[in-house]
Amino acid sequence: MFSRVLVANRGEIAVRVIRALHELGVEAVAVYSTADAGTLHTRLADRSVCIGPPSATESYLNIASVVAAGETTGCEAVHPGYGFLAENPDFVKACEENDLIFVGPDADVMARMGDKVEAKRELADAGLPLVPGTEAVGVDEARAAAAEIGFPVLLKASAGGGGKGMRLVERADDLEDAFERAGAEALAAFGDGTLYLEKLITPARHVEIQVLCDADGGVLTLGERECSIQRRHQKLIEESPSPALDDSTREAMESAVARACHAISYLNAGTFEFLLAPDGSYYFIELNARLQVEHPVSELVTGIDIVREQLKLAAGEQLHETGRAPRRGHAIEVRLNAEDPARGFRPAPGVIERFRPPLGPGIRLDTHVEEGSVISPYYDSLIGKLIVWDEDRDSTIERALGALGELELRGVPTTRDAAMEILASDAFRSGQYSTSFLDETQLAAVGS
Amino acid sequence: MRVSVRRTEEREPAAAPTESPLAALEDAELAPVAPNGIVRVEAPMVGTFYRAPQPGAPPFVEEGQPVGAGQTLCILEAMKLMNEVKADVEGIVRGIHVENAAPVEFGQLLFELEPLTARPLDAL
Repeated sequence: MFSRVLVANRGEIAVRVIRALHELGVEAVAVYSTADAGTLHTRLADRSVCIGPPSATESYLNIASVVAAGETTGCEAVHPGYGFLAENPDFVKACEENDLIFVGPDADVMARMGDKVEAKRELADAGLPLVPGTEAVGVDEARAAAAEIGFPVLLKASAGGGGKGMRLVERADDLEDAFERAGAEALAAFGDGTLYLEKLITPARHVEIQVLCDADGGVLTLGERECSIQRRHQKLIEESPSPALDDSTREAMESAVARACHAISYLNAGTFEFLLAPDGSYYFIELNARLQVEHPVSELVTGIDIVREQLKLAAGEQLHETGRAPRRGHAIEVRLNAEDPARGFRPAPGVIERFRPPLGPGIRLDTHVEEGSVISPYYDSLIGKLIVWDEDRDSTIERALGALGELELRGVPTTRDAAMEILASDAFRSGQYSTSFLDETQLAAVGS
Repeated sequence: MRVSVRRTEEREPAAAPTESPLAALEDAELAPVAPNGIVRVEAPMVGTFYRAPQPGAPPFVEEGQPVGAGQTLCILEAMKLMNEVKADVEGIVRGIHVENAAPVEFGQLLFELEPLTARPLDAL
């Protein structure tokens, strides 16, 4: 094991990683911007280094400063957390070139998986199913493909994004007209009217599989996390197991992912994201080559400390067990953000005036916040993550509601009340929800 | 490097005033001339501090030595790159606050300069 490791992040995840390091008997060196001077992670660490002004591009995203902080303090490795430099292959290379072990996959795999098109091609070759669709098509091929795939389908601009040149087609009769319009729109927007076609998965659920991989080809799958409760593609609530997966689909997904890990020689922790269709079909979307915000959900159902495992794997240790990790019970994570649900979940920085976390069995709160803490306008608005465990889903929901009710937090608007409404809703309790949950559900916390 | 007015540490009362972190970062945006006119040269980055261009060579500057605006005061090494830190003002080196080859953090005091002009140019 290492003797000293740089934690190249801030906030709750820096606190999380520092704790794991100390549990392994490793010294932790924190980095901080001038906006974060004196915050919890800088105090928990054995040493801390100021790396720049508040702007993330000049501090937490500044590769030279972060690497220099590791070099000048005699660190052997760097844990990147999530966000900031965690998926930046240039940072991974800079670490390697300066004799710092990067806790994560190597730069090459990270670069390939960062390119969404390349990642899909490579993982389709490795046996993961993709959303059915076509390459660039003409209108006749589109008609034939749609008939084969089944409606509804999406027409999308090859050159574009942002919804320009995109059309939802629900019936065969509408295809020709939609093709013409989407093509014209794409031509106007991108100077290229080329279109491709994709099956629309609706209602879709977002389900992801957590893996740990060692250098000897050992792969451990830690099951799935259901992350369909999202607003603007930001996850709000995650749970494991997913109420939408049956045992055979779950096993099939985990073994497909394990084979894919072997095929691309993946190392360390990673998450394979899928869309899950109502009929149980699943389609690979992307591989997140890093630790994820919602990793504690998997930790609570498997009893495996993913961050400690990451550090052991980076130090060259083998996994103690491979295959499918045993799990027990149910876990739900609620993200508490300093955001105003009544104003479109707009980030609301400010000072935490009062903070009393919920306590009790099965309750975990990962946070960097204390009374007097500032939720800075410079960084994300995450206050903390409440993660709750119990024997089954219903009792976990009750426990989460109790814990959220017990939480005292004043000074900034938060997503707490919105989360409580979601957890208490019939749609959530039934387990029958999709990524359009927040679009379809009127929450009192959000107003009209 | 930006220059503006701030009390020096020596003049600060023993009990530092409690500032909110937001106030502290606004303060950090400002850099550093004391009422006595001493200009603080602070590290613009993390790195290893070197007083000379290479081992065995004479230092860029010594205490008491006059320096011109734009003159190199030291090197900060990060990721094997040598970054020169230069004087913003014409002045006399009144303090060297870091040992050669020591690590420095962003914002750490490296040198104090006594400007030769009554007012530093940037403060006009």
